Amino acid sequence: MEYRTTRFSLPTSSPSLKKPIINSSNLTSLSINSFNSSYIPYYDTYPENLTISLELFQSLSIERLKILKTIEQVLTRLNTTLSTAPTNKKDEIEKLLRKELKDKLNYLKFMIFPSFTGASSADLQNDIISHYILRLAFCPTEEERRWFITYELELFRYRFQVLTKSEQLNYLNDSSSNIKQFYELVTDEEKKHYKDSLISSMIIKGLVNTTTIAKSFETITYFRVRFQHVPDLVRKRSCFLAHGYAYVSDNDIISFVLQHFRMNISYQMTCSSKKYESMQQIDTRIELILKMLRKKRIHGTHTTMTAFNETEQTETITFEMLNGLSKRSFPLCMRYLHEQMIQQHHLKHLGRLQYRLFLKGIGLSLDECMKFFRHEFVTNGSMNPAQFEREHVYNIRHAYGQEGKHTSYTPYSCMKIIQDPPPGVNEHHGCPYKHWDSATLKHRLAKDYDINEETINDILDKTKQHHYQIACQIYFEYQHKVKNYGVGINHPNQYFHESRKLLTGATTNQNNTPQI
Amino acid sequence: MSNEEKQQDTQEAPVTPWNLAIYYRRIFPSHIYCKWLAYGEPAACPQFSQREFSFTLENDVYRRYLSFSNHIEFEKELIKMCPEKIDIGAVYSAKPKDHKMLSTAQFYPIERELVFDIDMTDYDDVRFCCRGADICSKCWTLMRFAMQIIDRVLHEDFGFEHRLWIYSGRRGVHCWVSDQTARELQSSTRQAIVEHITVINAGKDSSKRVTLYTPLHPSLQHAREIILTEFDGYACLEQDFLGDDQRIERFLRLVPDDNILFYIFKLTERWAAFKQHTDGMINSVTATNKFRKAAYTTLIDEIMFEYCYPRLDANVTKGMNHLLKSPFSIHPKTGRVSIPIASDALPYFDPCKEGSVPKLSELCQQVEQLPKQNEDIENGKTNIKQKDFNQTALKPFIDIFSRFVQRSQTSKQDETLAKSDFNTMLSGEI
Ligand SMILES: [Zn+2]
Repeated sequence: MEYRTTRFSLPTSSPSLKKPIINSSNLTSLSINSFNSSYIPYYDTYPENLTISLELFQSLSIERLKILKTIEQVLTRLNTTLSTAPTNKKDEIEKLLRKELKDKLNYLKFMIFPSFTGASSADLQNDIISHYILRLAFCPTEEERRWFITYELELFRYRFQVLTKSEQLNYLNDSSSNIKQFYELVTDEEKKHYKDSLISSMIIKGLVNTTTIAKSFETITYFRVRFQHVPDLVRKRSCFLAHGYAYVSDNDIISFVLQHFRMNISYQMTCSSKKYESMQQIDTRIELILKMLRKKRIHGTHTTMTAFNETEQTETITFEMLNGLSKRSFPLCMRYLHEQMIQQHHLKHLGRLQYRLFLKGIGLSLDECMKFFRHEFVTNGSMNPAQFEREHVYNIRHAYGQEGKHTSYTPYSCMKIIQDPPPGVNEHHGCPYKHWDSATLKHRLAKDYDINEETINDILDKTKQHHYQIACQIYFEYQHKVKNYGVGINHPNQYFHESRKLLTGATTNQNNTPQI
Repeated sequence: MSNEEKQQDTQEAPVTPWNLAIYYRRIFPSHIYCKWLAYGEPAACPQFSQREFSFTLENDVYRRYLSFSNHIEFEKELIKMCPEKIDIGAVYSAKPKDHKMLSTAQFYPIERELVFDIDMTDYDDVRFCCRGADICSKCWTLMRFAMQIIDRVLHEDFGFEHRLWIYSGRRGVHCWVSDQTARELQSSTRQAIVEHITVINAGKDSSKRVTLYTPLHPSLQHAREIILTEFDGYACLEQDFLGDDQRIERFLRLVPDDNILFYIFKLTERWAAFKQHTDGMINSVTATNKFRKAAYTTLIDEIMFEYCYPRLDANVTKGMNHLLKSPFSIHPKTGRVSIPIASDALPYFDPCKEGSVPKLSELCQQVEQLPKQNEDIENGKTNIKQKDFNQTALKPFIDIFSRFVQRSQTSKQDETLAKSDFNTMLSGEI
């Protein structure tokens, strides 16, 4: 089973991984055609001692970045991720992705459009090289690392899902990876023993029919993994748990594979970021390409906050203005947080975080922000000044980068707000369109915000289809009495910015078409 | 809290500096306590010396990022500073007391027990006997449900062996899961565990917050069984949850519109009649009822969960560096000690029962009545102290705690033993 070297002809220099323990699973008998499968590499081998031309270096990296950016755009447009999207939407995403990338790929075409004959060793080598170049480009800052990992994972998921079941099993069973150490196949006996529990665990939100599952139960392969290795399934309560192990069906095993991939890659990237810092004498031509890649990643993405923070700030905002502004120019999530703050003179931790960073983003100065919180918590609320000093002053200064590691925190984007943990009892953060149930949303829009019925129904429709940002856009258009205002809302601060632009008449020509 | 206790509050402060001084000098079980947090390592281990403590001193002075090199220093400082409240934080990559000199790359949490915090105030919309900080035996049933349900999940589903349940001293309970694997969990996994357990949705008070599907996930089936054993008695007799119009209105938010309910709520046995009606709906086969039938299938379970299922403070569990009140800390408002609850007592422990939770003032009286000779012996403080607390009402709780610490350390030894066996095997020395 020595595929690693023959497949990539690259020396192994991965952080000393233990030799996989071969267990006596019946999977070992499955054969893998290492050259003719549409296999995905594990990316745990550094391509060292490899000579490639600078042109190829550049083309490969740009092509991979193009793929990742396209995935980002498609997911942003549909406002979802491959992991959270329901099956029918997944198809839509995949179709869109293929459409966007059609005729645009060359060396890495096989990653998105796998051929029946599988990938060649040259293909896989390009795959690995391009992956490592981007790793190098995006390892310096945490923000870049997170971006890269997020979309590499989505890419990986896309590629894994188009594999056949037996190809997927091959991936899991490849002895050249350490992945085999982390799972066991569930024996027929154990499967029978837990039958009822296994079947009940698969019913998530009534999506799957019990009788269908019971019928196909016999054909399902189950894997036993530590629960830490499938946090997504644990979170959704969609696997059976016993004694610290999760029982994962072959349909869900991708969660495990992805987690394994994520852990490998983020561990290695943290290591290489330290290496990168010390690597001052990198070839200047390569350094130029890496810089160019970093620039290209940001170029055209309107979610980057620099645009809102610094360059386009015109009005001076004081905390007394917030009441008025919140009615006219805040998106619903922030308007609601503001109102809760005013009514209860308090906000729980996550609400404070979300709101405070937004306020920072719209240009409320640290002093004004401090005044605002003190005014609500202490003057109007019941908090004693000492407690405020102790518990909040530091945090507010921290958000503005005045304490701790002195980094300036970026305001949350819609994606982050939507994906973050939902508000619990007495919490008010989150995205109203995503986190409020429709009755509450309807009630508040009508009673508290005086929005007409037609618009409310529009909004509810969109939220039901999980188009939260489009719902937000409808709210925007209603508030500003505009129709088909062609700007996708993807950031609360962008909402604010667009609103000020409309209301104060200032129009800057903003280029919204991201390009690479 | 009982009236009698409130009266006492006004007569004498539940916590005085004088009493606290006695408590830390003669009663607080610092020896076993430090042994717990060192996890069987030698006294000067990083497990202990890089652990954050936080003391609340007189007049709400709050000292974060305290740390102590070993149990001797801890005990010395404890007696010197005499905190009104002790909180425990994470084990960091460096000594917390040095944190100001360190960057975030050098100072970050590396280990933390998996902790849970359940607070009675989060149940205010479903208990009708008390509000806010008050508790009584009736609503304490909710905490007993929570402890039993979560303890089972932690043990049977997640496989954690070392779970310490603590009565917080006022209106809630904490759980400290101390298994090595639990202490090493990443934040995102902790969050996944919280979400796995959470059933009551974000929604607002005004709407139905629990939606279940049949068949229930095995973990929820177990929760259901636990609630079911006591639900009727608890909801109907203790809370009288359909007792007046307001409560019925609260209830009706969970139920699909149905004319028949009007008649049901005229009856005295409302809950029984409602359940019967629900059964009827589920078993009816007429096509017109199909939609309703679906809505009714999980309804009874949803109602029980809405009223009784545990409500967690997710943020406490998620973050590794969140502080949580320490076992054996004194509650500053009630003077009650945060005591461990024996694992087999979770189904019936009740802090509202007279004498079930020792109070600071009582304990101090008890040691002051001890014969003087104990204090004259000069050979080692701990020795005296052990004798002292052994003669107070705190003894049974310290015993529970010792057994817990003992157990978590034996299994640790087993682990090390197993590991070394494995190593010798590899090196072929056997
Ligand atoms: Zn009560």
